Amino acid sequence: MVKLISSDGETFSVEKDVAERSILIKNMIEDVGDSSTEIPIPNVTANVLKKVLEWCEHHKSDPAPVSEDDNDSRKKSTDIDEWDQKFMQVDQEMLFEIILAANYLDIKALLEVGCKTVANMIKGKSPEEIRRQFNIQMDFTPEEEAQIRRENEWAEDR
Amino acid sequence: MSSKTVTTVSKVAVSSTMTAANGIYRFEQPTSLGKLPTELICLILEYIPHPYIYTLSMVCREWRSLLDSYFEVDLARRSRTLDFSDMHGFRTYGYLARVLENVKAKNIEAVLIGTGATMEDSTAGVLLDIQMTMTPGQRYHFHNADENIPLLDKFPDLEDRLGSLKELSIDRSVLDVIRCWSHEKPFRYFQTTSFCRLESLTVHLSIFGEFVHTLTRKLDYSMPNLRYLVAECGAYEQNGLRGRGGVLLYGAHVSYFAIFPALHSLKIGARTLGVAKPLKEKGKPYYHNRPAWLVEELENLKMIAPKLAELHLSGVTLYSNIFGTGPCVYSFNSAMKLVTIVGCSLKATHLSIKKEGREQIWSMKRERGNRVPYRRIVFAD
Repeated sequence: MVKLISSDGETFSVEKDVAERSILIKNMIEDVGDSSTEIPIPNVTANVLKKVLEWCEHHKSDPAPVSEDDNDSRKKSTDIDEWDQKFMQVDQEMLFEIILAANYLDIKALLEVGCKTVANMIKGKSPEEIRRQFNIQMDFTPEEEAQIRRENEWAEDR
Repeated sequence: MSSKTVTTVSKVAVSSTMTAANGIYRFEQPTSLGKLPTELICLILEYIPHPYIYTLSMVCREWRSLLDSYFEVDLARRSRTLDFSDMHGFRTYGYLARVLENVKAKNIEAVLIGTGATMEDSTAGVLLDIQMTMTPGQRYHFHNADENIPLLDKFPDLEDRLGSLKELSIDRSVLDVIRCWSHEKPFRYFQTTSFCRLESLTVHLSIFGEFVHTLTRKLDYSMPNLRYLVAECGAYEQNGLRGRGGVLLYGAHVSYFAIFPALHSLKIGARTLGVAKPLKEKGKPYYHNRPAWLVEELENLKMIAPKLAELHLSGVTLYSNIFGTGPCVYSFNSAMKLVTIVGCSLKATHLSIKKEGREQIWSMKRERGNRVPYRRIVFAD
């Protein structure tokens, strides 16, 4: 078992192969050479780390992530595994925290799922729908809005 | 470090803090998208087709600003991934913006937006046509954007041809050539995915859309002297991606799509639209897939025509590339169809349409050091 310490001091005991879904943690374990050593995760709070480790636990048997060179093939597809979809049904703040944590911990597959989730929330929606989705106030002046509309007119499906 | 609690993660249950009945989650807090580093935002945007990305800029000021960052970072990243590292210039939108500012400052009359491979025969043909329409005696200058245009060794033909134009340089009229994308790598980038045909078009659109977006967003484009805007990307088809990725690409149509925004915003009566070229696959004649290609071509023209008609452009000239053998006739027929629908004029530039004629030209090339006069067939205009 590996002990991970979140930024707010909570300790998580996880199996080594679960923890090593994170390249950052894997490298740290290798550097320390002793998996019983407590590993601080200073950029991730307990509630986020718990979620991240839950994902790692579920995906611990997944094949190793593809190399950078193969990344192109995954782009543009926003299909998300059913379990991951449910996993990502969290509030917005947590969603972005998970993305940040996945990026920090270097868990490419989780980062990908997080990005796809956000992309799916945005894709195909009108500006107004996106504002509603993210509770955003429209702060353009009418003149600015008209200008932007003109600029983007060519991309509209008419 | 002392710990408050110890949790065995394997026993943690899934927690969904907010799930709407319809499965769509909504958030009460203001967006925190802006809290993400730009690189992560770019990563998210990778999964959103570009037309939607343009929509995002209409959401609010914060997102508009994010999009600006995205376009900067995305192009810089793409420039790296496309291995432009060995070329100077062509790095960011900033570079393109500078080139275009230059175009404006120098009262350039023609801008050519092309890709690597298209800057060969067909483009040179269009250049020659433009040249011919210049006022006799008017000085003509080939300007290569402060030597910043990346040129690949594999396109010496272009250099030769532009070199001959350079010799004619003089005075006020300036022709500027902007090489937009080297076509091979971006397409390798896209072709491994399994889009449907329309999505492929979207991808094409996005490539040139990005460029034109810069053109329209970053600069004040009121350039009364700009008489020609040439977009060429027919050679995408020649690359035969069908054989490698199973993705149908329709580069010629992209020429039209790509130029829409420019025509919209420039409002200068840009007169030249793309090329139409048949598909080619390695080891097979141009026309082996002719029927399917023709059908698709016509279908796409139906989509394109109304959009062109909306522009109310008079004097649009469509250059159709009759280059090669049989299928080019079909390409030309498709172009004619477009001409009929839209009411624009058509000018065809070209080499021979017969195999023996082409061979004859190649023979002349060998003898005369590539300086072969074009046989020009003017159908209209």
